[in-house]
Amino acid sequence: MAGAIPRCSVRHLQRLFGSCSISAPVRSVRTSSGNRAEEIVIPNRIPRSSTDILEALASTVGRDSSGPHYKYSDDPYLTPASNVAKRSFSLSKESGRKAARWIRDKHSDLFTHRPEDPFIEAFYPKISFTDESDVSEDTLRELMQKCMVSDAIQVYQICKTKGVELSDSVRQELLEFLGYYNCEDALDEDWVEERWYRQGIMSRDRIRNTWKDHGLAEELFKSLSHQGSPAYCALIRGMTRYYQVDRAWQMYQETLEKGIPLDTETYNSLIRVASLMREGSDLRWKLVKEILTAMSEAGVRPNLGTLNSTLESLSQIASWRQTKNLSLQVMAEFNRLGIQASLASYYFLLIIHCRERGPISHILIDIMNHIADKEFSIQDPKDTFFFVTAMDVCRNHLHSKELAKRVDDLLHTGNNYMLIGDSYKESIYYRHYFALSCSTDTVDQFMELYNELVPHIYTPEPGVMEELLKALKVHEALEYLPQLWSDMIVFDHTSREKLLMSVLSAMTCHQPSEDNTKLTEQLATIAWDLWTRVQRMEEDRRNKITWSGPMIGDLLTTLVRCGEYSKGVEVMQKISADPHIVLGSATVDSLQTLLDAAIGNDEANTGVMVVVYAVDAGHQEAADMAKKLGSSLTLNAEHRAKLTSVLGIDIIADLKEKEISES
Amino acid sequence: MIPVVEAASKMSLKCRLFSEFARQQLFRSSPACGLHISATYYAESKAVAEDEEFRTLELGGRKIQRRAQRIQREMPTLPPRYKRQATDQDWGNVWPAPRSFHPATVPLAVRQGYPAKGQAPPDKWGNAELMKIPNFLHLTPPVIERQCEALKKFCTPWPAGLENTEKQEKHFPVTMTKSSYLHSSPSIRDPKSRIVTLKVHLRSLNLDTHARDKLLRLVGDRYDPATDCLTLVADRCPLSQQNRDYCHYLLTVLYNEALKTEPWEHEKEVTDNERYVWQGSPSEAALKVIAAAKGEPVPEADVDKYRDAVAELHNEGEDETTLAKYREAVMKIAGIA
Repeated sequence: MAGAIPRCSVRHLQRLFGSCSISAPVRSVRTSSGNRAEEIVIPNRIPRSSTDILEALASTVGRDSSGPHYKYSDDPYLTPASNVAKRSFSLSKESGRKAARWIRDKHSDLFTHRPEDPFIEAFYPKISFTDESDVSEDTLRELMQKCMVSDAIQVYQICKTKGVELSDSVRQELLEFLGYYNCEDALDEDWVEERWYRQGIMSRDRIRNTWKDHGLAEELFKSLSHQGSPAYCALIRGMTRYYQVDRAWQMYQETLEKGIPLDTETYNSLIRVASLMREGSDLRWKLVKEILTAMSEAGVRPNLGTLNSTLESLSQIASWRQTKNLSLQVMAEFNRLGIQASLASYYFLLIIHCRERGPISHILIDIMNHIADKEFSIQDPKDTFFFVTAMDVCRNHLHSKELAKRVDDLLHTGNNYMLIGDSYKESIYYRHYFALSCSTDTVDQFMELYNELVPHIYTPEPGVMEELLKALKVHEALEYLPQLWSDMIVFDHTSREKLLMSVLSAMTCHQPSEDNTKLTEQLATIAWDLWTRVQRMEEDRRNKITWSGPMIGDLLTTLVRCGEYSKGVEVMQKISADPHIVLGSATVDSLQTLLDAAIGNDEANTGVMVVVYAVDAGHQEAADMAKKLGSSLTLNAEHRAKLTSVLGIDIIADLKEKEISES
Repeated sequence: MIPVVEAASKMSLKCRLFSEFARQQLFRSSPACGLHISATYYAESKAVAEDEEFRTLELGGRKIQRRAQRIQREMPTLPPRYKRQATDQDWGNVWPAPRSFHPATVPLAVRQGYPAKGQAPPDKWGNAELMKIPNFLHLTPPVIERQCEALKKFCTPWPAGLENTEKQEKHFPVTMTKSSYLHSSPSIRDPKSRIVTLKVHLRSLNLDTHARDKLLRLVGDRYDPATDCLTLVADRCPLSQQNRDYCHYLLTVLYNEALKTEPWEHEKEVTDNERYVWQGSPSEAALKVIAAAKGEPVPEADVDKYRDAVAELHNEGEDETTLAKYREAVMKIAGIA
């Protein structure tokens, strides 16, 4: 049988290649060897997306506080430490990206080489539309997909002028789009640093009507062939979002008259702005209840947004005596409906219950019991307010470090850190945490926290630094002062007068002894460094520091006490020569300390200088000081002349008389 | 006495407590208040000097005054990062990804490079050699363990009946290999990802001697006798799926062709044989002549031994052992040994 393929070979080959069906839950290969059929069961591949492995590996990496955030260079010279530097480093990096994008868009004819496979749209210039461009409905849809508001408006105008037919559905989409953005471009999502440092949302009193009346959105609304429920919903939601509450309410009445049903989100948006439509807490609550009843009568199911907007309205009337009870009732009712509260709901509860002027409420403890160890994702824009407010409550309302620690642990569970919001909220959060720790913990525990967070996670502001220094002074924990001073230099706090005053006054508490010689030396170095820094500041600087009397006094005391007598003398010479650099004059105690040291070192010149200065400053004790000087050291004629000239009487003669009279 | 340059307004209120005498003393020494004292003094002195001498005529370019160097403000820098690191820190968080060596972050006092005369090898600061070489600081054993743990959820268990190599070969004799590439450049594609390799052991294929011989002639050096492995590499198609199908096809064709016997194969001659076969060779004829000449038949064992020795000489080649074996066999036959 030449050329014929033996039958057994076909089966053999089939066996070789393992015929199987992949649609089965597992792949199994039946081998025909032997009597018993051995089934090798191969489990199916676990489906994973293209980034799942990267995410799994990324989840093994945590934050290390010894180094900077990954957006900064990890190098001692290039890592920013002060708040100003951090802000300018990140924003300047982003401005570079913006400049690159601007150049690319301005010179779009230069960027035509496209070797990518697959094509990456984000790398190429944005298409700009002119009156001659070929536009259609699909172009409009694409632009809306990419959230390019001004381009979409332009394309719409081009379509109108060219007479391109736009269907009702695309008009409805465009209406929703423009209602959401109020016909203005939002900040691009690529500019993450600008978003991070933007602080506008925090200020609550910026609620102004910014809706574009008779703008493109309303024009679109009118141009729809049939204004049904989606159109009214879109328009009402847009108006309430930009606080055009009167006309939104008008539209709502129209829908009631015409019997047009509305959806949940529209009702939510109306509830949210209910406080702006009525005056008086009970009227406002009445309005909210009206809307809620209307909602339930229409058979519209409430959702998390309803809960949050109701609580938001209540938080606007938080001074009413019934608000607290109402808020708890609202929470209970929505819980019964099966709606899980988000962090925004807890935020509103905190605002309502933990008010500045009101009884202390421990609602945060209940909230923490409820949400500890849970992972949250963003469900409401106001979710990001929770952590800041919770820390604020812990610090100002409850003064509880344990609760603060629990809040902090929650912040660090899973991905919850993403809900910290922006840089402003983050800095306020840590400011509260810091201050709370400063006032409740021991100095050692607090410095542990300090070493953990500073400078890469949080840089203290000057106000916080001041509190820190006060705490160190009160607890007499001056061994941390050198570290704080070097940190102050790096954070650029050495040009703030209050902080320098705090440092100097803290240093005067130090009593040198044998077992703290190192600290003594360090404090002397700090004092001298402070002096040189201030003296080095240019004359015409905006916030040039002028020495005050107490500051100079503390400086002299510290220098002398910590063993730097010669430097103290140098300072003294400088202020004697130019008394105008000191606002006021050095304190008496410091002068006396310096005088004692001068006497101890047998330097009559310095002693005389001190006495002269004391007299100029008008201290009462100047005469006594002169007497002391005269009796301890031998003064030559020049010294005596000087003393006599300033004091008016010859001290030395007095002393000699006394001696004579005594002996 | 140095003129006291001060503005009266800046003195403190305590000045009122001065004695009149003291104040007079103070103010007498300074002719006027304000900074312009020094200026007027200077101007006066200069005018005086100029009046007494000729004004000098200066020709030629003025020497360019070197401007005072702009004082570089010293930016305070943080201490290096390794000073803040505890000895029990989590290194995986500090060095999570491959990174050029950075001396301020790595806490080890490593040294690298050829030492200058009488000195230690250069330390890590500014050491280009340390920065050039690849480091694996991102793959310390604890980190590898942690990453493996994180990846375990994507792994399925090893199938039950495939514990050792024999079982694997029994159930899955064919191995297909393919590489995929990902570039971080404008194009992520790589043409090498179409290459598919198929490996199979010939013992897994049901081949008789003829089929085996024919298959080996067909594949040539794609067969490795040391490992008894046939390797087929396909890269002629643009897609790896196509190359995979081509490999399957190729193996099928080879196998079937090997099993077939063409009509012209009987024309194979002795010189075409892949191995030397003693039966029917001139060596056997010669032995018969010798046996006839001896008169008595040669014992079976000797004949077998001779046969093996000659076959080995031809097949394996001439070397010490084969030649020795041949000598033994011949001497046995000749009756000398």
